Amino acid sequence: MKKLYMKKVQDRLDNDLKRCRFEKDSISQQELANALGVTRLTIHSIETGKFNPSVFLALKIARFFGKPVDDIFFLEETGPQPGKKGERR
Amino acid sequence: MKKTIGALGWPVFIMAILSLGGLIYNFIFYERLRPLILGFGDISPILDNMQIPAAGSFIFIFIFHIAALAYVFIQMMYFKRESLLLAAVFFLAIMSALMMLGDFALLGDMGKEHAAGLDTSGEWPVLYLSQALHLLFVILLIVLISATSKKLKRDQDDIVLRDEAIFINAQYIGLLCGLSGMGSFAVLSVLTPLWALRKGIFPVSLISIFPYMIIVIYWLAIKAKERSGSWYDEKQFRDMTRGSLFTLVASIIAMTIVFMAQYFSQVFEYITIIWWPFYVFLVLLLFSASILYYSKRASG
Repeated sequence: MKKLYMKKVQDRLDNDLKRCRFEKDSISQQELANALGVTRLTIHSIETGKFNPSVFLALKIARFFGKPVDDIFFLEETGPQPGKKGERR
Repeated sequence: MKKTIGALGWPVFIMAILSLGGLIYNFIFYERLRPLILGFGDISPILDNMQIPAAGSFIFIFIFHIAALAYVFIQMMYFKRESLLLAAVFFLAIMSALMMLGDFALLGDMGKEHAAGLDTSGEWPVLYLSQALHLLFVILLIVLISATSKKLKRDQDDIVLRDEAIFINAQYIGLLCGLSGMGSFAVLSVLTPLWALRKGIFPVSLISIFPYMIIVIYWLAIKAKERSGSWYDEKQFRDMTRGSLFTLVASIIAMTIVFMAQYFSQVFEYITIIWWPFYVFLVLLLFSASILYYSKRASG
């Protein structure tokens, strides 16, 4: 009998926020933060993947750039790590 | 405000240099008085020669503290980027200004005790510790003014609608206050008898917590001015939540160790006096340090 194995998959939220900023007149992190009512550090942390925004903030970002949310935020599939924890495969 | 910082910078810098001279002069004055006071000798020749210049330099240093506080406060309002140096100078400015008042009271007490024929050996280390604090403040302020003049020449930063610098700077000041409070209790517990600890615990706690109180009041004023619906943005909220959880767990562990120590050993009797302020400063230290850690980890 064929054994079924569940593939260990971890999903990570990734984004194209930095590209979106450059496409929109190369606005700075601070300008985007001002427009969204958050701090610059929050924008920086989202761009570097160290902070996942709430649905509310993600929708506000999408509205600001005039794009659907999943054009900016998407899931990146990562598996079990052979080396350093948190490193992409 | 940029012009005000530039205009205030030079006078404060010159006052800082003069205060440095004043501090050195007063230290020489104290050092010449100390052996005579401790040996119950005649101090009138030294007082006749040095008393008036020493009092003048004391008043000048106090005025310098007020000017420096105004300068540091304006910097905090203008620069919207976090700075450990600025936070440290802000903390030291308040501590040093309060200690100037402490010096005044201490010198008055020492004069009365000397006149009454009492021993003043316990007061001298406190006075010298206070002088070291003033010196550290003046040196760091000179460094800050030098760094600021370079920063002002650069282009103006973007307009900041939500101030993140105050959030981080408040944590730096919380960290320094926590360290200062716990350090003071450690020193007092080791060096002073229980009755002196009981007497000194209120002023030491108040002086150590005062800079944090000021920065929190300033932060509240900024939030009121921003008229934003939420006090923190969501990342700050996440960092605070994590920091709170860490503080809860770490403070329970630390206080359990403190409880066990005083339960099983009489050596730790002083804990029965200092436990509450110790807990406050421990929580402040853990909370500020953990928020800084989580903020820095996310921004690194």
